[in-house]
Amino acid sequence: VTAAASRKLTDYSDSELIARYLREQNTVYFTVLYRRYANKVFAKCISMLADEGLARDATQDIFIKVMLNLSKFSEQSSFSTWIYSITYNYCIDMIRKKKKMPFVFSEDVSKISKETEVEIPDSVLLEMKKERLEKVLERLPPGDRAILEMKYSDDLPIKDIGDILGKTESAIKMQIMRAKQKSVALYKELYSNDPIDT
Amino acid sequence: MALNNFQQLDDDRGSKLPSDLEMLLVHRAGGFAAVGGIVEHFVPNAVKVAGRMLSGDNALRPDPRGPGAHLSDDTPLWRIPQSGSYGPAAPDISNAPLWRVPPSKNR
Repeated sequence: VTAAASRKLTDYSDSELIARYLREQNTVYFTVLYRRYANKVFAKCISMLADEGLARDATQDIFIKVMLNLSKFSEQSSFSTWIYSITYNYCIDMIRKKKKMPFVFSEDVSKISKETEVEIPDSVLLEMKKERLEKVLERLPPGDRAILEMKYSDDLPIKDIGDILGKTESAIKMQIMRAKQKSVALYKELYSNDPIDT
Repeated sequence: MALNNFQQLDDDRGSKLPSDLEMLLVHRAGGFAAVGGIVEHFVPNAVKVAGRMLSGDNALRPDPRGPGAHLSDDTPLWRIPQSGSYGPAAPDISNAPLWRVPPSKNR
């Protein structure tokens, strides 16, 4: 048994699994990819769509999309960024279609003047209790929610977030700042008597 | 590495992933792979043949002179095909005694 053959499938990198799936068309490689990312994709769908049934259908559609487009994955970005990009854009499209919402972000960043903005430190959001953060996120527009999750949950660089949402880096920075301000305002509305770190 | 509150929320939501979804997707992946295999084997040939026919490749067309016309005079008659849309119709052998039916029809 060669060293390569004795390697566990779970040790394969995303790129290796994709290359093997495309070459051999063996579903076992796709299954490993699915197990690696399905929970994350489903979590993002629940967060964006706020409905487990819709999130289930969306997860299924997203993985079929991924499966059919694997050969187009160019490795210019990591596979995780690519699959999250498909997930966020799928959910944003779905929200736009269902709610007939042309804008899923709180406001058009190009209309906001920089002078009026106050920078809120990351720690303010990161120190919120999980349950309270969830309530705050639920009340944010879906685009703002997505942008905060890309930054704080997926640790995506600003450039990647911009690529995913088709916006410039400065627009993304501004959008993050607005989303943070909105989150703090919502927190104060919901938990006016409690400071954030309790 | 410790998870921050955003990542913990993601984990909580992700744990609700329905277990039947994997089976469903893997089944569909298998179906796509099978269809992909068929397409991979047959489409290139079909495209090649269509391309050759469109470009007027005579090798793919039936001989307008009829079956066996390309054979030389030395070809024994029994090697020339009898029926088809070209040439004389084959004699009806359905009622012929078995010993008269040519071996190829008797198999």
